[in-house]
Amino acid sequence: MTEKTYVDDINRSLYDFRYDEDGYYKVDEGLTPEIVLQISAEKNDPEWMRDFRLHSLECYRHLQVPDWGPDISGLNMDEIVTYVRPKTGISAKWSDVPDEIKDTFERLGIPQAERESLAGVGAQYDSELVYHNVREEVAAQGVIYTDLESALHGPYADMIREHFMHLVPVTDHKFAALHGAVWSGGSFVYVPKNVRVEIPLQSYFRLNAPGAGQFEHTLIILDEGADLHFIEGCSAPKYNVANLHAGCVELYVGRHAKLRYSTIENWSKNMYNLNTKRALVEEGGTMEWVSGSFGSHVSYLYPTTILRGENAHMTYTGITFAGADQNLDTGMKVIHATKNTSSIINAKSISKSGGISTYRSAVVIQPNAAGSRSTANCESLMLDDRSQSDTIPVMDIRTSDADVGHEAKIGRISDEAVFYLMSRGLSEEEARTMVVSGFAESVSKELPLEYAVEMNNLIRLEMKGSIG
Amino acid sequence: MPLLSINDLCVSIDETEILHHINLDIEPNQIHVLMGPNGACKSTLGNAIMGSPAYTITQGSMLLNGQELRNLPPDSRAKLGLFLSFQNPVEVPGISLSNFIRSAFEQRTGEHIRLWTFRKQLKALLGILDMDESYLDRDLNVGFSGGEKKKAEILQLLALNPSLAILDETDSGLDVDAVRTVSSGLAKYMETGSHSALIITHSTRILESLHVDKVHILAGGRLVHEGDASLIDEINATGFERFTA
Amino acid sequence: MQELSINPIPSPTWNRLNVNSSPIRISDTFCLPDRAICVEGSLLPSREKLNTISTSGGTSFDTWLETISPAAESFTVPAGSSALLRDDLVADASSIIRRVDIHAMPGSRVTIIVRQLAEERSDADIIQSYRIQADSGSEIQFVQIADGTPRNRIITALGIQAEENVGIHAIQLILQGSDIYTGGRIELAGPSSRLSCKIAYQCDEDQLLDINWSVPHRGEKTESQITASGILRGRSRKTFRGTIDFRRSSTGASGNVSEDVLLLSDDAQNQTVPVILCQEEDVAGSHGASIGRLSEEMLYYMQSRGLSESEIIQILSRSRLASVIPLVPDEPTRAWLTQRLAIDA
Repeated sequence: MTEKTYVDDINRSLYDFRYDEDGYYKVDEGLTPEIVLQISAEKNDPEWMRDFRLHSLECYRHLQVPDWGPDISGLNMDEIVTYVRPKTGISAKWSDVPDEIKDTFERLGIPQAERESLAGVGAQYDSELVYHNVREEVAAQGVIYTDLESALHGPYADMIREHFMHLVPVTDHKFAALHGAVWSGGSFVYVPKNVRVEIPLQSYFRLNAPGAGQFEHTLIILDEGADLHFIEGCSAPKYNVANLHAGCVELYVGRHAKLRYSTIENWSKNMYNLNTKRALVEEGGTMEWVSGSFGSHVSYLYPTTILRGENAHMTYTGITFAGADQNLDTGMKVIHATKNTSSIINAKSISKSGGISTYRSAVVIQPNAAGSRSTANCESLMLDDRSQSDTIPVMDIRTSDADVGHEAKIGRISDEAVFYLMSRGLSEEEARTMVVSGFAESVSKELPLEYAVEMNNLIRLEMKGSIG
Repeated sequence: MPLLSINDLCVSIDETEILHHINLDIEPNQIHVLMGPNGACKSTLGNAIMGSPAYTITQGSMLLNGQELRNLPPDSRAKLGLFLSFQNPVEVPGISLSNFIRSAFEQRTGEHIRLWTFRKQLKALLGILDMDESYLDRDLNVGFSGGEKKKAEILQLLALNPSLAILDETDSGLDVDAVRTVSSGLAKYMETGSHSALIITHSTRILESLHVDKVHILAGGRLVHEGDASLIDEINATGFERFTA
Repeated sequence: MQELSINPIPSPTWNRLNVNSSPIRISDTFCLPDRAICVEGSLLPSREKLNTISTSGGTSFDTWLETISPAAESFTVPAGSSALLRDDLVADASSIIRRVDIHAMPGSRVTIIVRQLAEERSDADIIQSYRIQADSGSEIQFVQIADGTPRNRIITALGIQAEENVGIHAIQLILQGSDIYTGGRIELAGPSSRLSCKIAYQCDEDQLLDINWSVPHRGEKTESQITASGILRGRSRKTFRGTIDFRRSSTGASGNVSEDVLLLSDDAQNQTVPVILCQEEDVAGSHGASIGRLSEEMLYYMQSRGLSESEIIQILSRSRLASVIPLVPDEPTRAWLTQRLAIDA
C-alpha cells in the first residue's frame, strides 16, 4: 500500500478578520411576517414588492428542504438574522465609506482592483451596498450599474418588476422563497443594445455580522448584441455560529448578446451557501459561467442556463476545492429548449482533509431542440483517503437529433507525473503542487489574471507541507 | 462509352463554389491519377462523385456507365459499382469488420452468402494485405491505427469488387512497407477484372507497381492540366508551380 | 394493488428529473411458475435465506417481495464444484414470481441462464429475484434474456455479495416487453473480486426500460466494468442508472461505466445517469456516455459501401444485440439467440 500524505488546511488569515457591528441596525433573529414587513418598510419597498415578500414567506413555509444534498440540519432559521444594515448609506467615493468597512475592502484589494482593471464596482457589507461606482465612459454608453433598491424607484422600475424573480420563481425551492421574502442589497445592471463593456464590472459581497444571512439579488439584463463580463466575489470572517448566504442571480442574455459571469466564492467555513443562479439566453446569445468554489461549510450551487433561442450557447467552467469540514455540492444545469443550441461543460473538483465535493448536473434536451449538442468533461482529484468525491450527472434526452457526450474520471495525483517532474529536479512538494495547479489550469486560465493568481496562491498554500 | 464521364461539374460547400467546371472521363481498365497542391480540393472531387452530403452539386453531370449519379444517394452509387476509399475512415462501434463487409456484399450483389464461406474468402484477402485474421472480429475501424484503417479500406475494395475505385490519399501517413502492401492490394484489384481506378495522391510511391494511363492536375478547384504517366516524374522534379502560376 | 418505488440510485439527485427511483403499481396476487429450474451439475437444495443481500430493486421492493412471496428457492453449490441453472419463466394468463437464493461455496462455479418469455397473448407480469452469496474464489455467470410480448411487464432484481477473488460475468439482453425493470447490485466486498457486465437492448413503440446497476467496491483491487449499448425507437423510454461506489478501503480498485445510445426516433426518451461515488484516493474510476443519432458522417461512409439508410439501422440494431451472443456461456442458449435474432452462421 502506498504511503498516505495529508495536506494542511488552507490558511485563511487573509479573509478571517472582522469588525464589531455595534450600533448597526438589525432585525430580530428568525423569520416572521413582522420581520419581513419590517425589512420591507426599512427598504421603502413599493407596494408590489411588499406583497411579493409576504407571498414568498408563505411559500417558504410550505416548501421542504431538499432531501438529496448535503446535510443542512446545522442551519436553524430561527437563529439567523436576516437583515443587518451598517451605519452608512451608499457612497460613490471610497473616501466616504466608514473607515472600518473601507479597511475591510482595502484588505481584500477591492479599491485597488477598481483603479486598475474594473469598469465599475459595487461592494456590499452585510445586507446593504456601501459603495457603488461605475466609470464615466461606461456610464456614458448608457450602461446602468446601480443597487437594486434605488433602481426600484427609478426609471428602470418597470423593467425590474418584469424580470425580478421571474427566472427563479419563489416556488422553485425553499431558499428561493426565503430569498424572495428577505432579499436585500445586490445590483442591477442593464447594458443597452450593441454596447460592449470592454472591462469587467464587479460586485463584492462581504458578510461581517455573526449569525447573519446575506440575501443579495443580482439582476443583469443584456439587450440585443450587448457584451459584458461580470465578476462576483464573496468572503466572510469565520464565526462559531452558522451564517447563511441565499443570494439570487438572474441573468437575461438578449439576442446575440454575450455575458460572462465569473465567481470566486471564498466564504468562511461556518457559511451555508445556498445560492441560486439562473440565466435565460435568447437567439444567438452566449452565456459563459466561470465558477470557483473554495469556501463555505456547505454549498448548494448549480448555475442553470435555459437556452431559449435558436443557436444559443453556454459554457460552464468550474472548479471546487473541498477541504476539512466542507461539503461542497456544486455543478450546473442546462436546458436546451430549442433548436441548434449547444453547451460545453468542464468541471473539476479536488477533495482533501476529509472534505466532500460533489459534482451534480443535469443536461436536458427537450423534444423541440433538434440539432442540439452538449459535451461534458468532469475530472476529480482525491488528495487523500479521508475525503470524498462524488459525480452525479443526469442526461435527459428527448430528441433523436441530438449529440450528447459525457466523460468523467476520478483518481489521484499520478505517481508517474510526480516522478517525472522530480527527475527534472523538483522537490516532491513542488511536483505535487505543479500537478494540482496543472489540474486546475483549465479553470484558472478562464479567470481574470488577478483571480487566477489568487487561485494559484490558494493551491500553493493548500499543498504546502503536504509531504509527510 | 467511358466508365465514368464527368461534364462541366461545379461543386459548392455552404454556398461557396469550390470545384469549377470539371470535365473528366475514365475508360474501363484504366488508372488515372489526380494530383495537385494542398487545398486544391482533390478530396472534394472524390467525395462529390461518391455523393457526400457535405457538398452540393450546382451544375454539370456525372455518368457511371451512362447512368446519371447526381440525384442518387451514396448507397445507390455503390450498388452501381462505385467505391471510395476514405481518407479518414469513420469508426463504427458495434459492427464487426467481417459482418459489415458481408452485409455490404449481400446488398450489392443481392445474393445471400453463408458466414463461413464468406469468412474464408476474406481470409484469403487478408493474406495479400498482411492483416491478421483477428481484424475481422474487431469493430469497424474502431481503434485501428492509420495504416490499419487504410488496409481495411483496401480489404473492402477487394471484397466488394466495384468497377471504379476512387482512392483518396490512401497512401498518406503510411510507412514504406504499408504503402507497398496497399499498392499490391491495388494491383490485385486491377488484375481481377474490368476495373478502373482514380488515385488521389500527392506522393508517387503508391504508383510504382501500377501502370498509370493518365494524370490530371487539380489546382484552385480547376483541372488545369492533364498528361500521361511522364507528368508524374516532372512533378516530382519541379513541383506544381508551373500549373498554379 | 400496491404502489412501490423500484430501482433507486444510491445517491439521489433533483427529484424533478424523476431518476431517483421509479414508481410501479403492482398487484399482490401471483402464481409460482409452472416450469421448474433445470439443473446440470452439483446443486443442492438448502434452507439458507440470504436476507442480508440487497438487490438492485431497492429496499422497498425487497421488503415487498419478502411479504408477498416468503418462499425463496434456496440452493447451495458445494465447494469446488460447478452447476448450471436454466431458469425459463413463461408468462401466461396470470402473473408469476420466482425468488432464488444461491450460495456458491468457495471455489465453485455457477452459471445461471434466465429466460423470461411469454405465451402469445400474455399480458401478465414476470417478477424475478436472484440473491447470490459468492464465496471466495467462486465464479458466477448470470445471463438474463427478457423476451416477452409487448404487453408483459418484466421485473428482475439481482443482488450478489462477492467475497475474495470472485469473478462475476453478467449479461442482460433486453429484447421485448412492455415495461422492463432490471439491474444488479454487486457488492465487491472481498479483495480482487471482479465484475464485468454487458447490457444490450432495443426498445420500440411504447416500451419502457428501467435499468439500475450499482457496484459498491469495498475490497482492495476490485474491478468493475459495465457496458450498456442500445437503440431507442418509437415512443420508447429508457433510464439507465449506473453507480460505481468506491468505499474507503477499496485501495487499488478500478471501475468504469459506459453507455452508448442510438436514438432513432424523436419521440423516444433517454435518461442516462452514470454516477461515481468515491471515498478512496487510490482508485481509478471513469464513466462515459454517448447519446445521439446516427451521425451523417457514419451514414455516408456506410452508404458508400452500398447499404441503404434503413439497412444500416437494421444492421446497427441487430449487431448491438448480437455482439453479446458469443459471451453467453451456454451453447444451446447461443443457438436459440442466434435463431431468435435471425443471425445465420
